[in-house]
Amino acid sequence: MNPARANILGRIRTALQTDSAPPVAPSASAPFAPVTNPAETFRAEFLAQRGEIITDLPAFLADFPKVASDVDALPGNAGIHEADLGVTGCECLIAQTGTIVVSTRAISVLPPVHLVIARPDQLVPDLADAVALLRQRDDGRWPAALSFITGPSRTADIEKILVMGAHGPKRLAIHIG
Amino acid sequence: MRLALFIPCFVDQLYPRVGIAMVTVLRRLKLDVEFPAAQTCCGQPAFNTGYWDAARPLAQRFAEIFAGYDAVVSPSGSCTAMVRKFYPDLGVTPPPTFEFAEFLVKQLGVTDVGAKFPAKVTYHDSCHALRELRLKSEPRQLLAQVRGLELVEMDQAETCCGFGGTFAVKFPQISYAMDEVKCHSIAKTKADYVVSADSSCLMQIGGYLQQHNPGVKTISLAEILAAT
Amino acid sequence: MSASSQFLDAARQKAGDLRHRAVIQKAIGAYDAKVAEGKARFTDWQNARAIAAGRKWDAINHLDRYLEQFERTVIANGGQVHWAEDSAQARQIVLDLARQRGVRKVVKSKSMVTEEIHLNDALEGAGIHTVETDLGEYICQIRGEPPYHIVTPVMHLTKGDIAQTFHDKLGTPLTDSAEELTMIARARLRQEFVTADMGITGANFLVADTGMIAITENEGNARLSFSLPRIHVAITGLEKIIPRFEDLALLWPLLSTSGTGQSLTVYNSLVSGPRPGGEFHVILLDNGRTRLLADAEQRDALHCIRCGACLNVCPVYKNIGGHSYGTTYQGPIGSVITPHLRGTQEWSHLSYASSLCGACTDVCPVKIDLHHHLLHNRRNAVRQQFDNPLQRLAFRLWLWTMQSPGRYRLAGKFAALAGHLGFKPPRHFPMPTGATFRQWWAREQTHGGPASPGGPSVPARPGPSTSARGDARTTGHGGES
Repeated sequence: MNPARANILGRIRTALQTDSAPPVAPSASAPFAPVTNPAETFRAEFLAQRGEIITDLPAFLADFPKVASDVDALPGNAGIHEADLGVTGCECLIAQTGTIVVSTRAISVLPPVHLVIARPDQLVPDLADAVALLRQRDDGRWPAALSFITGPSRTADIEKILVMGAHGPKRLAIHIG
Repeated sequence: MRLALFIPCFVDQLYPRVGIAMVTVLRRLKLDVEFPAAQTCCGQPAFNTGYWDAARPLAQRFAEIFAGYDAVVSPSGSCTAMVRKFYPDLGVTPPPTFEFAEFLVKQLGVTDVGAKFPAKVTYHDSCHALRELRLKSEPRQLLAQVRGLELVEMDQAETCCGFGGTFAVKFPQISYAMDEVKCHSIAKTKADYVVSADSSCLMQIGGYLQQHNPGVKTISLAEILAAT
Repeated sequence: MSASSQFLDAARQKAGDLRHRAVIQKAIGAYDAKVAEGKARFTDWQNARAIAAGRKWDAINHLDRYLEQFERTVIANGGQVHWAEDSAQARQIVLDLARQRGVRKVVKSKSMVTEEIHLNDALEGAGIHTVETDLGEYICQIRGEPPYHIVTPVMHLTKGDIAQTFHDKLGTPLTDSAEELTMIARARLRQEFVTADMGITGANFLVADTGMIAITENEGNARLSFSLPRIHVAITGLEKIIPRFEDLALLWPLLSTSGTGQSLTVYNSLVSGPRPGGEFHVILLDNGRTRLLADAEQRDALHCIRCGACLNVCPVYKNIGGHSYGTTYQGPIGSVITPHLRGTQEWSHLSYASSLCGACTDVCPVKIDLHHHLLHNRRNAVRQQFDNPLQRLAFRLWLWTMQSPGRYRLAGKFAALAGHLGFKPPRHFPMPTGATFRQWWAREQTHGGPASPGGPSVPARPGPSTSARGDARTTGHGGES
């Protein structure tokens, strides 16, 4: 048996025989203000992050000949490598930060445009709520991958200049129906 | 109250005027002050360089010399921080020691000391005063009451001037670069004076200004408060 | 050449490099503005830091328990956990896995730990084509340079520098557009993602109770790295552990705000198992972290979430840049932990290359006592007698002098004499003149009235012709000397 594990845990236990003082306890003051109008807030944050809100779905889809989809109501016609557009559902939407939580892998990151089909009842006010919802729903059988997506892919590695679509989708769109 | 003066070694040797100014202001406020002549150094140079065993005897000495006073006042944020915040690390209980601006505003509740200094000044937040003693508004409250004085804030007020004691000796190029950044920030304010609670910072800043921008002068907070 | 002399050389050079200084100041100026906006989104930033500090304290001070829990849950979810005591073991685990699975090509997302263990060289040495996919890291890889900053790898380069690099190494036309340069990288790397056998990522957090690794990024290259290749290997320091899934609700915004000023980084992913038909491996790396853990005084340095805020605020870092440090972790956190990870004797100099201004401690989102740990490292170096013996002697002499007011006064007189004889200290610093505060006080006590030594009488008056301050030597208005 590889001794590394035993050695490391042994060193940890020995180290922790000496106590270190805990930091000053925090107050009950919450880090963030409560979100009072989730729908408005989601819209504002999502747009601020350069997301696109799609009301006319057929018009939007008309621009994309090759679509990969895991949404039954919107069947695809291409694989993820050829698709211009990836369509997925979502686990929930977070108003505080305009975030979409998905449990998909490549289909929501490989195609250059990502469209999310969501329902209004999937919206929760803040991150803490989203985490609580996922815990309640998925604890014990977590999806192998979850991604909290806040806007399209971007980088500012070059002189802090913002460029969209570094590797992931250049455009992130949502249709809440 | 029994009030003692703690005059750091470099103020005593290089900038006696700063200590004299502090005494002038305290007397103007009708306070009796004593100067225990046995004092030498708080031990900070040794402590900061890692020689805690060399600093400890000086800390013990300091505690003995200043025992029995209600307050010890010093015109130096860094030396005050050494005594109040770091003497416990050496196992020495410090006497109640205050930086000058802190003493006036927080202990005496005084912001107007009857000073007059018609000039445009900018304030440099010395690191120990700002971050160890948590002094930010106190010097500014005092300056706000100085007649004729116009205070302009520099954009890098809280950025270290680069002195850092032995740091300036061991890493002179880095120290110089930091000094230059600070002095550029000062120049942008077009102030006539840069003022601080720490003479070591003013020495560092003054060194650069004297060479590159002699139109801007350095002055301690104590000297401004003593001016009438 | 010792690490310390290399550092001195590099720092000296960079400190005088005004172009470098201007580039970094511009980048960090932009960062500062964004972070100010980001902090304003918190109703109580200071308390948020206090909460986070408490969560990380819990994690680190029960590290064995949480690591075991993490291992159990990862395995239950279908992943594998490996333990590596040092860089060599970590590299070997990856190489063995790659060999056993016939891996020919690896895509990597940004991971400081993989820098720390020099993984790329080992993979290339074994004939495995290894591609950095984070844009900044990709540029570093092409240039053959280490990353300059733990969050922004090419902060020190201009658009022009990068365009020239792409032109020289990839044969692409020179361009002035950051967008075009990014698209060049995107197109090239797309091919790599699709054909790689193994994706190697780091981890920003390890969630003990749900057995997940959390990966934070803006570009999407990490998601592609763990989604497309068959095998996903995550290499991580064992201190990245957090107790609960719920802790992410605060730690993610703290990381994004301190790291870049964003409300949240674009992609915060949680991986708890392999992709269908694939494998998921987590390698937990010690490499000196348990030494830091054993130092109860500095244990909180293990709370670090690698946000980079301390680098960005440090006036030393901003003047000497990341490469000068000559080691994986730069800036204040690097200076604090490197003696523990790599040896006190060779790496204490970084703890001395600081004015102890404390700005780092103020910005740290998890409240690590950074600048005091620099002091602790200095004390430790002296205690272990890694100091210069001449310096040790100098301080003994200094202590002896300061223990007597008489000797102290005498020393002052000697310095004044040296000054009068023409000895000039560097940087226009003044020399003592012999006129001291205590002389003034003594005279005043005996003569019962104020007298001023060698200068215009206090109070000072402002005005262009009066040197209200000046160095004591140049005022020369008579009086005692």
